[in-house]
Amino acid sequence: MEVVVRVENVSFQYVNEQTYALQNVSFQVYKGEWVTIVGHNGSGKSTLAKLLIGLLPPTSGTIHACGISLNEKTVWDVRKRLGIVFQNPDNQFVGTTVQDDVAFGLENRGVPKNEMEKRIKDALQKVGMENFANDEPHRLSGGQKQRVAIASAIALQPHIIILDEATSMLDPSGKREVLQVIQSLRHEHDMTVISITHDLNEVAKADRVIVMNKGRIALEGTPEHIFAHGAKLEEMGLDLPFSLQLSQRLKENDIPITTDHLTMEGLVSELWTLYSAMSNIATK
Amino acid sequence: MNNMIIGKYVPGDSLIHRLDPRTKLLLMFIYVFIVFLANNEWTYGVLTFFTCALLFLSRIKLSFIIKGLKPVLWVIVFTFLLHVLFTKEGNIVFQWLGIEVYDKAIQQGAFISLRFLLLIVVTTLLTLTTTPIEVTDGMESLLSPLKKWNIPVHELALMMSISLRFIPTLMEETEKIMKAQMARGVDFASGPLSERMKAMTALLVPLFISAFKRAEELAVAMEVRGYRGGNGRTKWRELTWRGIDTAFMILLGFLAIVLWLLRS
Repeated sequence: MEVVVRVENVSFQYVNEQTYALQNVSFQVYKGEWVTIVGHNGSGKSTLAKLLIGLLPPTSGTIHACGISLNEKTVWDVRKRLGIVFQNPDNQFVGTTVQDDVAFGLENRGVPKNEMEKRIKDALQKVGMENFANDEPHRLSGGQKQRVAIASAIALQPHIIILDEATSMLDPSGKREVLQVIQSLRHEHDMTVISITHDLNEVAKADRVIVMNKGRIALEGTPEHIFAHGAKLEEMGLDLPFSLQLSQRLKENDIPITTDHLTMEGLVSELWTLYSAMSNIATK
Repeated sequence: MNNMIIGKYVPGDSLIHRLDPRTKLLLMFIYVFIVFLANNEWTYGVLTFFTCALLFLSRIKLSFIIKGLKPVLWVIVFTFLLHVLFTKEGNIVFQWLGIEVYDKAIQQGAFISLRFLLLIVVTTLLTLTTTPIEVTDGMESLLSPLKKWNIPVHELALMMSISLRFIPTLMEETEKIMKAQMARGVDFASGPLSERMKAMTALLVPLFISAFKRAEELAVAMEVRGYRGGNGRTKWRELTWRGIDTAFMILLGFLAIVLWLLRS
């Protein structure tokens, strides 16, 4: 598997601060993978995001993205290969209309006008916003604005998409919209996704999860593996997904649930078939 | 609140709407000068006809124009009265309570007010038929020769378009902060002026802090999307100068010549 991001022994200390925000962090992200970096406030995950996009230089250690070593000289080269969606839907909307916003990044790259037209249409279609091309941002919902931000990012054809708390200011339906778009993009275009979040509910869809705590990597593995350490996660100040908590409580009360469900859908489908499963057993 | 500044634009597909914003800006700019060529019945007649023709072509409801005129209407009336009362030329038309009104005064008052009215109608027409972003693009294009003297035309245009984009956002925020502060007992609406000014700090300080935070985040977002200044940038919004634009400029030239010939 091709490695697209390699973080090696990275430490970071903010000026005027005693403790390290990041300490000896190393991990790799493979092509086409969805990696979620999760952590509580102050775990160092936002610092890590800033390092990945070259907004801050690591105090020590190296970061490679798409085979380029990230430093002051290569930062623009690296950014060409990254698409980033930030937290606040309003503060990353540059254009006066949806299509102007998608065009902004393309203009910066010097993409010719006829090519731009194609890419804007294509990107808006991928996020399901093609009917809003001429709308102004204040007429859109938060989820729609974030979808436009994703369109703006993918119009630049990045290798990696970074979601920096991209859903944390959205309502549940907005969150769902954004995550669905990312999921379908990944299936269709083999895009690498790094999402950074404090919300364990978003972890379920990832291939791999990295849990940050106090500037270090505390846990790493598949979502199932991570959630097997439920108590540890709660100690780190993370809230377990409701479906997981419910599955565990049900088990404790001798309801025969087969696994700890990470998604609501999984739990619901097991619950509504449970009765017939039980009556099957009974008739046998 | 949102309609105050940017809601002026009236969407449409008329001839005037479709003109290149540069044409409209130039037209307005030149019009402001040639209005001063008019100095008799004929020239004012031609100007009024031209302006009414523009209005007709724009297909904008007269009520919108009148709404735009309301705030300046009293200035026009005041100008007229001033001229009527203080110009002492020609023959006395009537006398009343020691006030003498001359015929030349009425004529001059009418002319000056009409000039004022025409100017405002034409500028209102520009804002009614052109989106703010088009105005910005037009300005950038018209001012681009100034780049030779190191005037950051592109940056200024970008600043303008970002400001336009953030007006509704900041308006919303202002409203939110106001409500939040009112819930805490701040009284924005009553009390003496000095008290009200003091209350404004409770609104302005949070608003400014948030605006700066927004600006910082926006700058980062722009940077990661590859913004490095105007060099090597292409433009999504391209202005196209068409035959009709040339035709309008020629028409304007004719108007100037006609006015020049007819003026006394």
